[in-house]
Amino acid sequence: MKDLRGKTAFIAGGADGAGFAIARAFGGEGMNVMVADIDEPALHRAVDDLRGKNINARGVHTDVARRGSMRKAALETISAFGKVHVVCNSANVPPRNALLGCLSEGDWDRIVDINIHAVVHAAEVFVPLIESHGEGGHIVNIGSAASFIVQPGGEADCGTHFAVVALTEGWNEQLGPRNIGVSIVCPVVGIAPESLGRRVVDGIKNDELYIFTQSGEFREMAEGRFEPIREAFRKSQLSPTLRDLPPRILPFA
Amino acid sequence: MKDLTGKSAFITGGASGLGLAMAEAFGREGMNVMIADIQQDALDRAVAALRSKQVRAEGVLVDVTSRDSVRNGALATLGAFGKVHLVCNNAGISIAALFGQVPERDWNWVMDVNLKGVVNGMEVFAPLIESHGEGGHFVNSASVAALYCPGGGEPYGATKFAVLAMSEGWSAQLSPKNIGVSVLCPGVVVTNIFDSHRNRQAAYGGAVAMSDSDRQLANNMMPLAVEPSVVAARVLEAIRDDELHILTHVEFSEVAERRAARISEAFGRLDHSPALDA
Repeated sequence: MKDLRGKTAFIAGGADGAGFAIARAFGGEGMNVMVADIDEPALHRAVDDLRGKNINARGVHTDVARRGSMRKAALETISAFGKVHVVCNSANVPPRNALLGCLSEGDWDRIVDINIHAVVHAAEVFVPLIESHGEGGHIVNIGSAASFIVQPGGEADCGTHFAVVALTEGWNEQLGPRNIGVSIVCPVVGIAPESLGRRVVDGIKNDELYIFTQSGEFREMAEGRFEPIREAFRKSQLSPTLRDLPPRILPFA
Repeated sequence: MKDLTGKSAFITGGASGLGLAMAEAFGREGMNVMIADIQQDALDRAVAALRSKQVRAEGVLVDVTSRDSVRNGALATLGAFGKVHLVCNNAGISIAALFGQVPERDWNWVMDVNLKGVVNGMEVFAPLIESHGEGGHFVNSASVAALYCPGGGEPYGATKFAVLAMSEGWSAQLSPKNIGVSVLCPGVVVTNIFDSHRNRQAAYGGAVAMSDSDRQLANNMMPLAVEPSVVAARVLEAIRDDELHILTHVEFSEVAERRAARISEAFGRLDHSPALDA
C-alpha cells in the first residue's frame, strides 16, 4: 500500500506500547485510527492523546481472544470510518521468564489465545472486509526478538511468536495476489517509539514481509540460529541410515 | 542417552505411523515401551504387534490435549516400568486449507494437539525423568514445516514453528540436568497423518471421514514419502548422539536456506532505511 492518507487502520492492543507508537505513526500519515484494547482507561487515554494531535481516532473495547469481540470491533470500525485498510495485531501477553514447571496450564492457554488465536481472528474477520472495497490493504503482525531467536525459559513467548511468523509467511503468499500485504514486525527492547512507527509505515509502503527495526546483535543471533540447523542437515547427509535413500524432489518448490 | 537397554520409553501417537516405527526401533534396542494413543483399536493392535516381536510393551489411552490424560499416561508408565527415560511427544494432526477455509474449531484442534500436546508432555514428564537421576531424552515431533511456511500450510506450520522454537529452548534448559531434547523435522513420511480427522475429538467437532482434498494431498505426497522405519532409525542415532535438530529429508535444506537468505536481506534493508536514525 503506497498511499495511506485518508485510509483506515485498526490496531489491536493499540492503547499502549508498540501498538500505540504505531497508532501515532499511522495518524501522522493522515490515517483514521481505530484503537482496540481490553484496557478501558488506557484506551481512553490513547484516544485523547491521538485526538490532541488532530488524528481522527476512535476507541473500541475488544477482547482479541474472542472472535465475537473481534467481529464487533470490526463492525464498529466500519460504522465509524466506512472502510478498513490496515489491521495491526499488537496485543501480546508480556513475556516473562518461566522455566518448565513455572507456567500454569491456564497461563499457557492465555498465551496461545492472545499471541496466536487472536491474530487468526483478526485476519479472518478483517480480510473479507478489506477485500470488499477493492482498494487493497495490509495486515501487520507485531512480534518481537522472540519471533526469530530463542531463549531458554522463554518457550511460551518464543513458541507463540514463531507461530505468528509462520502465519505471516503463509498469508503473505496467499493474500499478496489479492492486493493485501502481510508483514511481521520485530521490535527489540530499546527501540524509540517514533522509530518503530516510522519503520512500520515504511515497511507497509514497501510491502516488506519481515520488518526489522534493529540490526546489530539481534541480527547476529537471528542469523546464527540457522547455523545448528545447517549443521544438522550436514549430519543427516552423512548419516549411515539416510545415505542410501534415493534422491527425492521437493514437494513444494 | 547412550545406553537404551532396559530403559523405558513413552510415545504419544504411538499406535501408528512414525510413533509405532519408533516403538519398534526402541523395542529392538531392548527398551520397555509404553504406547499412548487416542485410538483404542489401533493401540491394541500395536501392543500385540510389538509383543509378537518380543518387545516389553504396554498401551494406554491418552488424549494429549488434556494434561490430566497425559498425567494418567505417565502414571501408567511408572506403574508398568517403574521409571521413564525417553519421551516422544509425537502425536500430531495435519490441517491444510486455504485462507478463510479453516473452521475455528480446527484452529483450536491443531493448536491443542500439536502445540499444547507437546507442552503437556514436557511439563508432565520432565520432573519424572529428572527424579531418577539416570538422565533421559525427549523427542518432539515437528516437521520440515517448522522451517518454512507455504501458503495454505499456516495452521500446521504455526504449530510446528512453535514446537521447533520451544524445543530449542527446552534443550538448553534440560541439558544441564542430563536430559537431551531433539526436535524431529521430517518431510513426508508414510503415515496416515492426512487422515487425521478420523480421530478428531468430540470437543473439536468429532471424527469425520477423510475429505477429498486430504485424500488428494495424501495421493500427491505419498510418492515422495520415506518409510517411518528409516526415520525411526535416524532418531535412534540422534538420541545416542544427543542431536537437537533431526532433519531426515536433506533436500529441504534448499528451502531453509532460501528463507534464511530472505531474512538476511530484510536485515540488510535497515542499513539504508530512512526511517531509522542510527
